[in-house]
Amino acid sequence: MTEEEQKRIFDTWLGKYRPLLFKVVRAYAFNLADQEDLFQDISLQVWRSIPNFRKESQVSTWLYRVSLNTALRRNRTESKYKDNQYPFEHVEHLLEEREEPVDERLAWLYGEIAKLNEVDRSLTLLLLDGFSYKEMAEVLGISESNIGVKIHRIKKYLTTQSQKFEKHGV
Amino acid sequence: MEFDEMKKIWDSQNSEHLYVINEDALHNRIRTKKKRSQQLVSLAEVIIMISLLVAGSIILLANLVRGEHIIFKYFAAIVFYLGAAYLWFKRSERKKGEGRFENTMMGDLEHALSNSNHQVMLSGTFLYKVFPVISIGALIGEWVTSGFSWMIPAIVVFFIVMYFASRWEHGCYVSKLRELESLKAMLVE
Repeated sequence: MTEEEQKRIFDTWLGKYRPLLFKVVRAYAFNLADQEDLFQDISLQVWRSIPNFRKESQVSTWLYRVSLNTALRRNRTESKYKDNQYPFEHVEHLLEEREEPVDERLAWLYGEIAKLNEVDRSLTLLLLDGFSYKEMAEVLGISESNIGVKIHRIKKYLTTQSQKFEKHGV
Repeated sequence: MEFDEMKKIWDSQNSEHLYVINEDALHNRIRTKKKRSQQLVSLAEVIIMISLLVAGSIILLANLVRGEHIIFKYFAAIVFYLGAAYLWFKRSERKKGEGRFENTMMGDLEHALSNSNHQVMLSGTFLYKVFPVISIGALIGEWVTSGFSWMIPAIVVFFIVMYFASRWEHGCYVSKLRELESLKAMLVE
């Protein structure tokens, strides 16, 4: 694959699947500086992954796999430095969250996703984006039956939490 | 709330943007990156040119002073000088091309990308083309002048270490290039 082809694919993917990448960024990084860094890390890994993409899966599945792996690996590395995590608060941020939230229920949903452990968080993103058990197993490297059990638990948890949310509001 | 409803809320993001780009901050960052990439590429060019000239001169002088007049060494010195001249030519071309970028955010970004591409080209050329020639040349030169000695394995080890160091450096420049490309992707809808 020539570098020109790789660049063309990269531009197409980042243009078309940017919302997917932003979902992972928002679910795994909780301040703007981290979100920017994670977005750049993911972009870099997406670039590197292009020659390995064999078209055996859909592009969205592939991108989820790459971006979730990057986010998980980064979280594990970053957790070592958690105490020094916010020395750059004065830096101007490139990304700004929309002033008017799209939907306050969406913010609540992200909040609940953030409370889950790393694997369940990944699974929830895939579930909400309509991936099949087989695709989820492919992305996360766990068995389909295990996924079934986890999904049942996640759905139950989110539904219970939503009742509290609806009762008390935000 | 049922899970299906959550899914509908989730899907609403696909038609909305979660983030907006702070264009002033982006422009400032691009300007800083452009300045850094300019300094870096210029410094790298000067260092490589001086190294090639010094290496060529040492080989040439040693050959002349010792009165060895080994053809291979004259040839090696010429190759080093030609390398420096080629680099000077590429540097002049790059500098001439700097005026073609507009004084806008996209212009600055394209300029930074062009510098970064040039840096990657330089380090890639050194790593995959110049470095093997120098390594093999140094080994042959040592073999021709002194035969097999302890210097041969020492040179081999030196070049292996240098190869991995250069590969690491090349990787750093490629990462910087990808960072700029991801900035561009963030900016271009």
